[in-house]
Amino acid sequence: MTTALTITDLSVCRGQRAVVEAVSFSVAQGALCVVIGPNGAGKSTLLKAVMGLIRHTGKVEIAAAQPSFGYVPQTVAIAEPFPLTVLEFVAAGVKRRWWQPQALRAQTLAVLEPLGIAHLINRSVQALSGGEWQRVLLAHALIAQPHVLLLDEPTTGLDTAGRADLLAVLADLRQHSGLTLLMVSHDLGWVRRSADQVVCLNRKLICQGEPYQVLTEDNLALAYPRG
Amino acid sequence: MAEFWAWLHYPFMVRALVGAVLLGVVCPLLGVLVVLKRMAFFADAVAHLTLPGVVLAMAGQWEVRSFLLGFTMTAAAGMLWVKDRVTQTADTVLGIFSAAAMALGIVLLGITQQTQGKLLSFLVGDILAVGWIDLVLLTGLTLLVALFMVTTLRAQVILPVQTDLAQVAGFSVTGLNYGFVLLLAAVVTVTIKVVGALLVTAFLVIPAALARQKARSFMEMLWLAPLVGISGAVSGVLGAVLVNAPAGPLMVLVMAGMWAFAVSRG
Repeated sequence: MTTALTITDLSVCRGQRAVVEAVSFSVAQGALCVVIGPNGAGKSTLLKAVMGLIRHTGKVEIAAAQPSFGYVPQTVAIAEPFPLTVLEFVAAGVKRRWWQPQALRAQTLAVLEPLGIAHLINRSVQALSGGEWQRVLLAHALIAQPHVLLLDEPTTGLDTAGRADLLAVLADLRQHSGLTLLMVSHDLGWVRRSADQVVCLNRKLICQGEPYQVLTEDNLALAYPRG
Repeated sequence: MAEFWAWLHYPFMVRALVGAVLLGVVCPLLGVLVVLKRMAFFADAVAHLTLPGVVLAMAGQWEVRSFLLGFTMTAAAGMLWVKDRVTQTADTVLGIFSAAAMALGIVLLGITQQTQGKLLSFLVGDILAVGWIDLVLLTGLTLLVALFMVTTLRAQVILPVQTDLAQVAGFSVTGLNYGFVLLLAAVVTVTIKVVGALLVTAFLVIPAALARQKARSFMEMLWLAPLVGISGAVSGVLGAVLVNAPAGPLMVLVMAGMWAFAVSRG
């Protein structure tokens, strides 16, 4: 199977303290790789380092001539009134074609439709529910057709139905687009059922492999030490 | 009414109206970012920085506007640098800068024993005294701000949502922030002769705040804010002639009235 993403000896330091230490793993093309670990394990930091948003050492390689990432952060709230439509926000994910507004709208609709939110295209982002907003963030990440999609606990803050809907959308996306996904999640039940690969992290790499190999009592005890 | 139209035959009145239109475009356009980035206090601190700048320029007998442009741009960039590195909240840091800048201006005024007349003209401004060179500068600045807005529009849409998303889209958040504050310093410097250091923040904040209240999209906010700015500025100039009142404060009062009306209507 072709490798889409290879991470080699990736480390991130804050001051003298290593928050991610010498992590190495690779993700196959079209696979769903889920990063698990306790709070403060460096999962979000790892994602940001992979995208090159924070200073790090080590290597991140994507098997593409012009590699690109899509990113869906944890639920972000827009604190102040901000008149912004779904069309404007999603379309901002690609370089604008001012001379072709209809083409830009069509391109945006093509991303919104498979996510089931085409009807929201003219709605203000502040009038969206939590689940709708997460799908809009997903559409923003997908419109530039990234090689690898990174998701940082995208179901945080959603109710049970919203979480199930978003996970179903992601499963559908994988099935139809063959996109490579690197995702942070705390939902171990879902990880066991859905992931192709699990990376267990607690600053250092505890273990990695298929869910049945990683999600064992011994490994989880190592990753989530008590008291 | 005939007397009112007669005023329009005076060149200074034509210049004032052209200046009002340009002022009504340039400040509110950049003001959209001031409001969305919650940097009204920063804009106020930059305006206060002009006081020591003007005093230093007069003491050194340098051309005031050129010196002031360099001074405020350097100081504004320095202020952003400090704000991003100090652990205190932004309003606290900027409050300190604002007060210190004003205090420095007053101390320098005492030490250098400058006359206060010219200084007063920078503090309160006078749109009726605007010359053609001022208008050329204002036009150039308006084009520069419009260019900045067009070229960074994608980033300006994403940034208020989350800075990480803007970085993933390939934008340098630091570069955008410094570009913005340098432009803000230039706008404040060029427009204080028109509206004064004490009131320039109103032009940056009020039209954009009203536009944010009423607009349904970002693009709508971008044209609504200058529309409010032009309406307020032109009404202020015409009103000043009619009631023989200072134009700058009148422009601000008109815009504040429009904002209060818009907010009261929800």
